[in-house]
Amino acid sequence: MSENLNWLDQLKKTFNGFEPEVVGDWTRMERELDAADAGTSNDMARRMRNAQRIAAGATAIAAGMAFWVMSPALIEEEGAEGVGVATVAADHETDDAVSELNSSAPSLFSPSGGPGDMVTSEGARTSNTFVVDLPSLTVKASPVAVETVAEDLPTSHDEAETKTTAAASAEHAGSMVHDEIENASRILSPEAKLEAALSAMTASVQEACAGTEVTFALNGLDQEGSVLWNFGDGGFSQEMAPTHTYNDPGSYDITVSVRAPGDGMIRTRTVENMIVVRPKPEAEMNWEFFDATSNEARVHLINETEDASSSTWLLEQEGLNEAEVVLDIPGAYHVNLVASNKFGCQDIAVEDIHLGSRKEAIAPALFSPDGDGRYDTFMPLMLMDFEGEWNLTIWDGDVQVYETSKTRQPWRGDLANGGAAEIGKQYTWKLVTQTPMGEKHLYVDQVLIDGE
Amino acid sequence: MSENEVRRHIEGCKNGNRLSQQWIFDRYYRLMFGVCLRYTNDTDRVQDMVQEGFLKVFTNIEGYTSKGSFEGWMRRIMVNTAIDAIRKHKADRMEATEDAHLEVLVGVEEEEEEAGRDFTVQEILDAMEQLSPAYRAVFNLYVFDNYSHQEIAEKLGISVGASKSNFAKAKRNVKRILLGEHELKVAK
Repeated sequence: MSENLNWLDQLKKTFNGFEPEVVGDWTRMERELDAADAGTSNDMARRMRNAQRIAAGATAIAAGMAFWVMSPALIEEEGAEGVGVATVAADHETDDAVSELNSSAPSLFSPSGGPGDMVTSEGARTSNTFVVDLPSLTVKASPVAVETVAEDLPTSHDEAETKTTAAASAEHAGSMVHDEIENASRILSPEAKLEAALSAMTASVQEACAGTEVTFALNGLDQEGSVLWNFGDGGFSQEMAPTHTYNDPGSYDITVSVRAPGDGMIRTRTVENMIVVRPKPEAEMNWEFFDATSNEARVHLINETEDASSSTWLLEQEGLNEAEVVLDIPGAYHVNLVASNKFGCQDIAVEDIHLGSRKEAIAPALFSPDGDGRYDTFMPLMLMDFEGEWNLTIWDGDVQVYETSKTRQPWRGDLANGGAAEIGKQYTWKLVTQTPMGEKHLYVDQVLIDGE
Repeated sequence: MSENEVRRHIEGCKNGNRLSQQWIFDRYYRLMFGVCLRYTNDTDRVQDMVQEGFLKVFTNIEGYTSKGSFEGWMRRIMVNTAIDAIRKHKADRMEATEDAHLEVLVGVEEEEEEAGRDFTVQEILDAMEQLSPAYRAVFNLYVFDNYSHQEIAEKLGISVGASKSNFAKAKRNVKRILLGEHELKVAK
């Protein structure tokens, strides 16, 4: 029936990019967002963030990492200006070339890259600094170049900073404040600029959760030339400022090669362990009801996440204090479980809780189990062609009197104790269905035993 | 609008940045309004749906993992919100049996020829308006939102067979209404 397909495709095409002439009410949106923020969700966000700080801090201290940062959110909050790298990288062949670089953030160098020298506590505020493992640099500083730096440009007053880098294989390193770099760059040769850009390679984050997109850049590289990034996980890019998503946890070395249009010489630099990717938890949830009447059900939410250190429930975007809720029947409820692990990485599980009554289950309101061949049994009709698993129970108050999960075993009014259902009495039935896709529905209502 | 700009604002939204949220809201509002409008012609309700949809987008933005398209992700949230809203709306019970108007039309032999011309968005919306909410939802989900019958069945809590048969009837009726209007206009 290709004609019909064409016809429907035609309709679909008509709606492609359809944007009616309407204007959104941002004021109302903002008000609702404020309300959402002011409520529990704000508390949650704060708790999450605190948990992230604590977790990240604990990890850094425990592991004695050479560098670490907080989540991107925290960096943003504390006004990160990028990544600080300090090294002198001047090519042997270009004696006049001076490359000098420092971040505008306070520098925090690790002497010889030893993990024990990591400064924590207040050092956490300089989380946007990472330490370059200097031996990995393929471009080394020449003493001549460094002298030029020392004479021509004011260096930092902080003696310790120069000392620490000197311990590495590069002979010296100095640091400058940001605007001085800019002054310097004006007098630098194109080659030196290239070197400077190389040494200023930055990443939007240094520690990220799996699945997070990381943006890389070579600061100050305004000229044309070709660039090749190796993200360390098999991914490459030729963009000047590429983005890359790390899906697997681990520590990644980043290598960037640049070639200036003029001399055609390729310069390469590798920063070991530049990006640390943390595992994400796999949020999983389930639910069950443990008490239900025909107009409401008490539902227990079950957190099945294996590796979470903290988690929060959201019901229709509202935070819940406990994993137990009373829900009206009928209704469909959107539940999220936000789980976060010790690294502050989050995952969200989503599930819709569907609660229905007689109408949704297409069940009769009454039946007459008197053996006359008419309306003798009770079975919700929706089960006739239902393709998943289900379980139907019949209740007399708090006592379960019948249970079935086969359509050929409908309720004939018989009770668990051997008796028969009372004429004129209402029994509560509860039906739990699960589709092959795993979606669970609960139907609860009452059925009257009719004598006619 | 560059991809990067969108990406930057998504990041902003993840950090709860109001300006980024407003940017996304302004950028996608009309498109998302168009998505929800397919589910009901009542613009007041559509407004509420889009509003609720955006609130979900912003509060669940962490759930967007950059794997798929952002617009597609938002669309899905809007469709879910629209379906939920329709399900909750008392007048729009998802039972598909009470549609007298449809029963009249169903059973008429399906026209085999092409629709013959392009229809405007308004004509299609008007035609869909004549379907019951249940039929309209199935028709929309299948034709415009690329859901399979299995997925529709899950979403609406009906059987796969019911989804298929509702869709067949809805399809026949939309075509019939569109063509009927067309003939009427020619007659005038």
